[in-house]
Amino acid sequence: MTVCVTKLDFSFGQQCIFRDISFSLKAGEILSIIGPNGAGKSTLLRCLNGLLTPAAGDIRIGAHNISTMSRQLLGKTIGYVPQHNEDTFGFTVLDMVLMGRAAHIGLFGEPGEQDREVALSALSLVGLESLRERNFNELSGGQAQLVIIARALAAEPDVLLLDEPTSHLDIFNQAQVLKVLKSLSCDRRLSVIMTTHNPDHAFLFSSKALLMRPGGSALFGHPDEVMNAETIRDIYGIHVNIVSYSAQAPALRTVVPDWLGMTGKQQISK
Amino acid sequence: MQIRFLSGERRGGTLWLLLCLPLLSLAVSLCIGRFAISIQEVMAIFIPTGTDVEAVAKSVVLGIRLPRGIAALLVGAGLAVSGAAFQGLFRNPLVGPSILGVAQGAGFGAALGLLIADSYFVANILAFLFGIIAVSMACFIGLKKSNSSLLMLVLAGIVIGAVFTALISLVKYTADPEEKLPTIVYWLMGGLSSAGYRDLLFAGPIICIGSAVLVALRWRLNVLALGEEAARSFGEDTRLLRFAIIGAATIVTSACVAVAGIVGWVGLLVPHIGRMFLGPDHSVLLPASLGIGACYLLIIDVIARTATTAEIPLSILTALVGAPFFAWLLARTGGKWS
Repeated sequence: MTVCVTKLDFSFGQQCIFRDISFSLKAGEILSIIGPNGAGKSTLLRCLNGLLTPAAGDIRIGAHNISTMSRQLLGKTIGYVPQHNEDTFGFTVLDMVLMGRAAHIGLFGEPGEQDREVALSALSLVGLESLRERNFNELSGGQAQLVIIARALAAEPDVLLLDEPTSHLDIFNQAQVLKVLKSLSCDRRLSVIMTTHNPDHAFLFSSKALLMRPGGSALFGHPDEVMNAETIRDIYGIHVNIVSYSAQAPALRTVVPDWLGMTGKQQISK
Repeated sequence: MQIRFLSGERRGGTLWLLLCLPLLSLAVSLCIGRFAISIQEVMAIFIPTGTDVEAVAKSVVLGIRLPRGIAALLVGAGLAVSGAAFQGLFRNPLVGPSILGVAQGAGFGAALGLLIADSYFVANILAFLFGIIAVSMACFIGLKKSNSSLLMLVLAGIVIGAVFTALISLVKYTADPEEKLPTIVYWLMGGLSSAGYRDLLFAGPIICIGSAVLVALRWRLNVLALGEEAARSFGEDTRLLRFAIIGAATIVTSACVAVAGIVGWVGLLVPHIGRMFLGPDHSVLLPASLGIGACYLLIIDVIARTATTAEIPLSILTALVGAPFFAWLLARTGGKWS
């Protein structure tokens, strides 16, 4: 489903978090939101599923403005993978995924056979069907993240929002998560919007990138167009090189930060 | 250590057993007491079989033990199910049903009733009302801002609890130390010796309706236990759910305190026992807590009325049995419930 955001402003009290953000995304596209800590990436995601209300601007999903959608309809339309997932009581993996069905289950109801099937197929999409009886708190970080993605998928959403889904994961598990997201966007035509601290992920598989500057506006476009050494230095305040390598076609681009501040100036001025 | 709970069909069977057990315990409890009555006699009272039953036995069973036993079942079930619901709602296995000050408020209401009216019935009504007033005040303070967290609510509950504890002391201080003070003190320690059919008619429907609401919302408690943000992202109206659960648990607990006085530990302990055997899923845990709580308080009450020639206050026994059990539980699980 298309996601269309126009001129979005958000502030906490007097403090402006972001302003004038516009972008649009078609079904089956992936948008990576990058920007430094505090730029408002998570806040923007929370606005997109109605957890926070923007000060101004419109968010449309398909034909609906989300301010007119009920909480329940939002829950069915938008899957959300939060950054922190605590489980106080140690639910089983299947119970955890079933909770994603909440918007489909009546107030006094419980998950039925059909909900169970949807939850199990969501688990098999992320390849963890065999863990269904395990205690969620005993999973590794990578498994837990995939279970949370399955939980969001159990709502059968058209749009998937993920808040830094790959942070805290090793490179193997990052790859697992990215592969799952890629296949969801290609095969299931989900619109995927994720925040990330790794600009490479935007180059790797995103159809679109949104670069957010703290308190300011944002750049939006195809990753190859909007992400270059200047724009990335501009938002993060660190010199970077963008290296491209072509062991396979199409060539992959990667951001190499000038970690220790030793070579940046010459490289940029060259 | 890892506690393995029952799964699948055995869980369903256990649940049915837990829901039938209170009735069985009630039947047995009718036989126990200083006036011994055999199970045949008890059965003959309820099912006319032609056997003659002594009039005394009949009046002991029907007039004293039956209402008292039913009251124990209702109060135990009500406190346990409210405790289980609050632990899920507050995402904390260490909270009890009076975290928002309901017991202190109800205790004050009862003490005030005993002070000014010298009537148990007035005390019951005031206990029920002040329990609700205390929680409403806590909610008013804790939920004033639309974005306030559950921590705010808990802190507000602690404040309100402290205020009403002080007010209870004030009532005790002004009460006549020869007559009223002992009545108030004994009442606050909890007990069912005065429980009769009138209490059941007053508190029974309230406890049943409130508990039914909590049990009906049992699966939603799972969703709420994941936290406000996650629950809202699944499409839950968390504000409405919170109000419904706090409201239902509050009327249940207030009614329980009105009948039995302040009985601690049931609402804290019973959900843990349920979780140990049946796992954390509230769909199962809430009905299980009903059954376990009912049996637990009935057994405690039978001990309270038979162990010595004098009545032992309930809160003393629930703590003497509950606290060591809880310590043992803590030692075994290392404080981890997941």
